[in-house]
Amino acid sequence: MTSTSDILLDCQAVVKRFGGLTAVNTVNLQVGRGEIVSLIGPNGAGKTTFFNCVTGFYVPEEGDVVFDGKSLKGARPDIIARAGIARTYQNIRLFPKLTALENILVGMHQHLKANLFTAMLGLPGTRREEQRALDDAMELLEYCSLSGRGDVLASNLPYGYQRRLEIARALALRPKLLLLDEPTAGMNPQETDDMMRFIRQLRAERGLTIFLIEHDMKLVMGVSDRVNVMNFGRKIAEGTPAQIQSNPEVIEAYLGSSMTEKSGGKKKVQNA
Amino acid sequence: MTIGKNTLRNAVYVGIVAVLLALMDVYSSFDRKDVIEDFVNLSQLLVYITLFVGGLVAASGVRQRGVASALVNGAIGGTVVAAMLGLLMLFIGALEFDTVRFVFQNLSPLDGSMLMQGQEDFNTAVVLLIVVGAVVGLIAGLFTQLPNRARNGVMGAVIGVIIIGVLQGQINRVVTLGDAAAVATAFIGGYVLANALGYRSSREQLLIGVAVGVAVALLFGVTASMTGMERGTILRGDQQFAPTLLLLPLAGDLLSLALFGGVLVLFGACGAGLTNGQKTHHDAGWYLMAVILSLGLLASQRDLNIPFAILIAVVMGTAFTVVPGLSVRADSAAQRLPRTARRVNRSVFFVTALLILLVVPPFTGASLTNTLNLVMIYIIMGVGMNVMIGYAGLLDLGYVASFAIGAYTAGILTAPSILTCPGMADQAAAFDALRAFEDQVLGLQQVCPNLLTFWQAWPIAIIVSAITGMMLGVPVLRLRGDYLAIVTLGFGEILQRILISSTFKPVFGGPQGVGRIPVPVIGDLVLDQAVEVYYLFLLVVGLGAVIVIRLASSKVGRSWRALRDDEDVAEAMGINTTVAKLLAFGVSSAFSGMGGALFGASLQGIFPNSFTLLVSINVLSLVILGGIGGIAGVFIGAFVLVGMPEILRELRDYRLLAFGVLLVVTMLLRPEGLLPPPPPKLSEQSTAYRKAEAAGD
Repeated sequence: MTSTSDILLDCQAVVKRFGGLTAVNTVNLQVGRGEIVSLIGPNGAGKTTFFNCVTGFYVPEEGDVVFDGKSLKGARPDIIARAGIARTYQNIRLFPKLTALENILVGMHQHLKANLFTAMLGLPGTRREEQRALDDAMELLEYCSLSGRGDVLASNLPYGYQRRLEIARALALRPKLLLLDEPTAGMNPQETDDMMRFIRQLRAERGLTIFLIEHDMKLVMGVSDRVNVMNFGRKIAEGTPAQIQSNPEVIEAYLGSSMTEKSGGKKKVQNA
Repeated sequence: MTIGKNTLRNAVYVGIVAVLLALMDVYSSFDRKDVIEDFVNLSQLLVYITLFVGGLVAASGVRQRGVASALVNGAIGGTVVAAMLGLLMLFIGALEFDTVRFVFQNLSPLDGSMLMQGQEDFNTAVVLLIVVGAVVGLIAGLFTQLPNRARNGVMGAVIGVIIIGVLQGQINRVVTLGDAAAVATAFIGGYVLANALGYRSSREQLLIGVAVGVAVALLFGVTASMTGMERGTILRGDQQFAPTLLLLPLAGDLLSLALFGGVLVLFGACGAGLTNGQKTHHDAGWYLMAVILSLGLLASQRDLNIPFAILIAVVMGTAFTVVPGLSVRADSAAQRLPRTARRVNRSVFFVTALLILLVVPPFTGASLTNTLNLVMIYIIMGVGMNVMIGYAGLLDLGYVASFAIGAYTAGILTAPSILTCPGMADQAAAFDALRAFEDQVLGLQQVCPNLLTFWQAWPIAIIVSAITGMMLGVPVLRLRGDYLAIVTLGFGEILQRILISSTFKPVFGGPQGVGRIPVPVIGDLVLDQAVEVYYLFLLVVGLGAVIVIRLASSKVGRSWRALRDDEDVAEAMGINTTVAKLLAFGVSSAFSGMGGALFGASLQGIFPNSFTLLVSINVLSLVILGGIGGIAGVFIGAFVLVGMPEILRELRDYRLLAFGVLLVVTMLLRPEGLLPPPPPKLSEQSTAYRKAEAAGD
């Protein structure tokens, strides 16, 4: 990362507390334009909380989030979405009673000019706009390999399709920055490989900047330009995948947690 | 042969309910209402139904164990329920009547006829009751063993006859047998012929239907003019009642002839088109035909008697046995149709439905039309409520408030009052001043120069309701679900207290409300007849439905539904949830206010007592019953929940009881409501799909 104009997302000393617990403690983190950056760390490290601070779902107590040169501190989630940040969720959160296509169309909300009155009157301009939006949504559906599933209720889609639909919906916002919260959670190795290819494709074809939380080290090390590591709310390391793999502090964080909580993290680091 | 584990327990449950109903005197309060003349009245019918349910509940536990078990268990169930009722009779008979009456105030003076009509003697009545219970239980057991189709048929036949029998007072003169026969022949003829010739293009299919319609028109027109069938006199003999379709050819002018032919052609086309119609349309068409034919059969008699009850049972039973099979075929044919053809079919169906709605009032007469008007008001409110609960997922129990605000705004602006008549203390003073004038209309202009017409006041009422609705929305933005329901409930109650209070009496008229609200006037046409108001309501309902359907499929509607499904995610997708919620409040209140203004004007007066919590609950129930989130569901819900109780005047005292039972049963059998909206097939509207289809054709 060289000059500041290349930085798309700049989080400066972000702090988020819940009562006595400091979930995110003075985290500085930058994502450069066109980069794929990962955020890893043991369970409960504060990764998702950090995402929520970026997307405005939580308002950080201290620090600032600067996106594309503008401060987003205290902005409502919908304003942040309009500014160009779209996200997916760790535990898929689609609109279950809307069809796949409708889910994508909701993502296009900010790009449609219709309002209550033009919609009521069914003006030709509104209809044309709606038709274009639908055609765009069909394209996105195909882009995310969901062709033919457009009229299925989101809750009735198989798991893997739901994951992809969530990404399709996020793409419908036409974001500059895409936040993916554990995009391969619950996927088998084959699906994980597909997702890895898809993430690279997103950057190559759509010029997206991608910031992701992930536990699957193969994916993290495979796609990331840079990796950030969090533990107990603090950022403990940052660097290229190779640097992170050999960072003693990171290994200790995962090993340490593996003694008391979980052995998954240790294995993942070693395997990667 | 086995006796089910739960047979006895379930029968006792039914028995307990039956005992409670008996103590409320349900079983003997309808003994003057004949369902089938000289055969069964409503009270007896209710006893039989209870016994049947007892048998059914008992027998359904052993449905898989063969006929013998079903019969025995059914008989046990019926007997148990009958025995419990019998015991109750003996028990009450042993007590001083006044003691019982002290607790159960509805009980009528006791004799055996409490449960068994015409049996004065207690002991005979009890024995008879138990025998009947066993027999009815046997029948119920047998019923559970019928194959599905036959069961549907029997159920349809029996329920059809019961409903028609109960409602016969209101619906006896809806359609003559001649008309019903003509319409049904055109419809069935079109259907059968189109089916026999197989599917061609939709244009050819329509032509077949038209040809059948013309043929039937000729046949019935000629026969009618030669025989005297047109007077609605076949079989009934004496009275003739207008209007009838078959009278039209006799009028001799071209317009009448065209109208007569047109109606039959439309039904023919409808029948032909439904051979590959969507399931809902197909079924609606057929059941409507069955009902029209049954009504015709009923109308040929003064009262429903045994032979004609059997005829109606045959018609309804056949419909319910045959239609499901046909429906599957038609629906699968519909799925294979190209989009344009499906569109043609749908429009034929909608035109027919609209036409039926348009011609209903002259056929049904003023009292039924009044009921229809009330249903329409509730449909308008339901359409608005649907925006709140169905789309935005906001539970509003103070919905009646915006209804009242609309009604009062329009009422105060159009009727003489302190605001419109300067110098008057209140409405009463305005009326006093009015008395001085000979000509009331002229006087009104003198006394109250600022009065608005209904058409001027209506938009104001709608806007005021929308704005107050949104204002209520502001403080409750953060609330969801139950909390929102409680706050809105409070708002509704506060508003009613304000309307009724003496502080605001000069403006709102206190408990007397606002009187002398003028009816809407179009040119020289004064809309003071139920039928005229009906057309106004129909127009408003139609417009409202169009608006809401458009909103639902637009960006606004999607943002509401996204909000309902997951508010946080909706916000993360760029939706301003504050704006979306306030829009939902505004739109639904606007609909409610629109209905309120119409309500006040059509009744020519409003009273605070009309705006109780019950109205909100009624609207909510009809939306849920019909199927949340759909317009068709609101129509069905309003007809069932508002129309039925109005027609069943005799049920008045037990209206809420029946209401509750209906809701519980519906929610158990169809938790999604009677007519839940299917998910939209948006992909078929995309350019890519259309191109592919055009290439495939």
